[in-house]
Amino acid sequence: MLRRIIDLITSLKLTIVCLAAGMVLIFTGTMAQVHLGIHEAQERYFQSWVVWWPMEGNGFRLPIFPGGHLIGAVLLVNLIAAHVKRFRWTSKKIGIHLIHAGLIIMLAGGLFTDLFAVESHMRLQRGDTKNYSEDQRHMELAVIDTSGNDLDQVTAIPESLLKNNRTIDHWSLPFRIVVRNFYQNADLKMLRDAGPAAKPIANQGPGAMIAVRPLPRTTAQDERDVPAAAIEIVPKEGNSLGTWLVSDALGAPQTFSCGGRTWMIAMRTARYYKPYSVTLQKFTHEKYAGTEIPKNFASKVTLIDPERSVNRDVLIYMNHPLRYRGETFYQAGFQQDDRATILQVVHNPSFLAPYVACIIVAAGLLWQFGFHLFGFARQKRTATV
Amino acid sequence: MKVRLAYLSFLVVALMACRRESDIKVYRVSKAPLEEAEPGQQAAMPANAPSPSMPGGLASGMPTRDASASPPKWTKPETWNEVPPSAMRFASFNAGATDNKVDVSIVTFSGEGGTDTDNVNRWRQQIGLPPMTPAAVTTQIEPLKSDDATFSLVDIAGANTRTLAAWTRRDGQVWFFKATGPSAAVEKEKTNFVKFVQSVRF
Repeated sequence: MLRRIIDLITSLKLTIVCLAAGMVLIFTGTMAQVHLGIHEAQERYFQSWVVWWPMEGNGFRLPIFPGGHLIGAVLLVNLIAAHVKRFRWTSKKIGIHLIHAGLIIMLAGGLFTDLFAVESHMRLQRGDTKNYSEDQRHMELAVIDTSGNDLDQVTAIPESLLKNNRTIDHWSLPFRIVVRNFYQNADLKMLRDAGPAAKPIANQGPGAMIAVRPLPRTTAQDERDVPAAAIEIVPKEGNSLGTWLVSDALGAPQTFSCGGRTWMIAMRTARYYKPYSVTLQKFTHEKYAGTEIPKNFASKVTLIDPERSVNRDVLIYMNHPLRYRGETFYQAGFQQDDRATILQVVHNPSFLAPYVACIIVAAGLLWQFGFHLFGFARQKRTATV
Repeated sequence: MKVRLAYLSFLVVALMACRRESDIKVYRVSKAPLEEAEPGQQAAMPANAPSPSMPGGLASGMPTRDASASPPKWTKPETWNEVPPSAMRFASFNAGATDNKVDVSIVTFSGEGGTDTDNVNRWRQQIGLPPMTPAAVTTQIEPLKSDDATFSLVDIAGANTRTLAAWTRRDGQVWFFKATGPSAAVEKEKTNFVKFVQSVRF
């Protein structure tokens, strides 16, 4: 039995099956982008262990095809197992070993990047200082205890936990949050503009004046969903305080009191706080003379890290990112009137994997081809003599 | 054999359990701004990142408490330019020179809209000043009377930026009028701002 398993995971047939499955997955995933949009298709086809059918809904679902993570992981295991099984320590094989090692690092790096890399953005106007970046693809319900003198305590509830009729009970909150309605994408309108039949889903704050219309999830690449939820605040000891509408579209947090403390709630893009701050000193946007074609974007920022006694100016521009504390800041965009810069912030623990893999594969190829070349040359010389 | 299979199963389950951002996070941060984003922020998405499709209809419609109530009226200083309000604003104006602009915002919420201490300290932090005790905040607030209402007025001057804020609570609604910009520009506009607030009729 063990023998058969080892034969299976080390077989070339498994490699071919994985590569073929990968091709099918790439084709179907690419076609699915038409209806799902690029990000949704990526998550469902490539950043998943299995592809489910039907894709929507919370009911019964069937796994119909291996997802990108599963195919990649099996390929990785297959490659490692085959390599270990056939490993022979001879100078003839060093090149092959290096090439395989490089491929293993590249595959493992890809998987780890998918699992653990976090991309976010930091938008700064001139003079702005921020110690957090925001993830435009993920939202969170931020519940903020503002009663502290210097610090706010933030309880950040990820969007994925907001489901209809789910109750969120957390040690940091003296109340429960009951999700009465959750809409992945919604249009918000003032009641007076929404027609006579429209009714609010909240009875507290601005939400009491707003009608919510559910929308299908957006697939356009330059748009994102605007989630909305009606949440009821129920003290752990006491009666309900009412229902609030939370949505990114409201633009501002709402306040209420509970347990003798003042709380703010807001649906906002997920934030990643950092132990250092970045201040935009200057943003430069150069264009080619007489055209609107961009020539160069550059952001001069001041990096302040009290823990490490760092206080220095850094120029971030195309192909010259700032790397600091495991994060990389790229010049990613700008606001249309050049008033603000947008920096892409990437935290990727395995960012070196592709570079290391390429160097190792290149070394392996050099060794392997060199070995054969010199061998061939030596044979030719011998034959000539 | 069984042990190996158990290890393999554990590895698969552990890998499948590798999910990001599925847990509730709790952390402490320095006092955050409460109110609306700067004008235009909603459109300020990265060139290579998605921009939100903003719902319409909120921008001009937030303030009224119910559909039948009429919005307040005011007299705008001649030198101010009305600009499209962002999602949470009732109205927005630009005052002063283009390169030395004062941003005037009008925001309303139902309810109390937070305590005066919290609000003033938030505005202070927005321009880089430390928070004050409730007693100290009280001394900074001046009454500003108009024919129609009594406003609370505070003048907060930071190193380079200055904020004038006036607010009043009536009929279960709080109204904030705020002017923020470079110190010198705000100084020039202070008289206009006070006259503007006094012209508000609910």
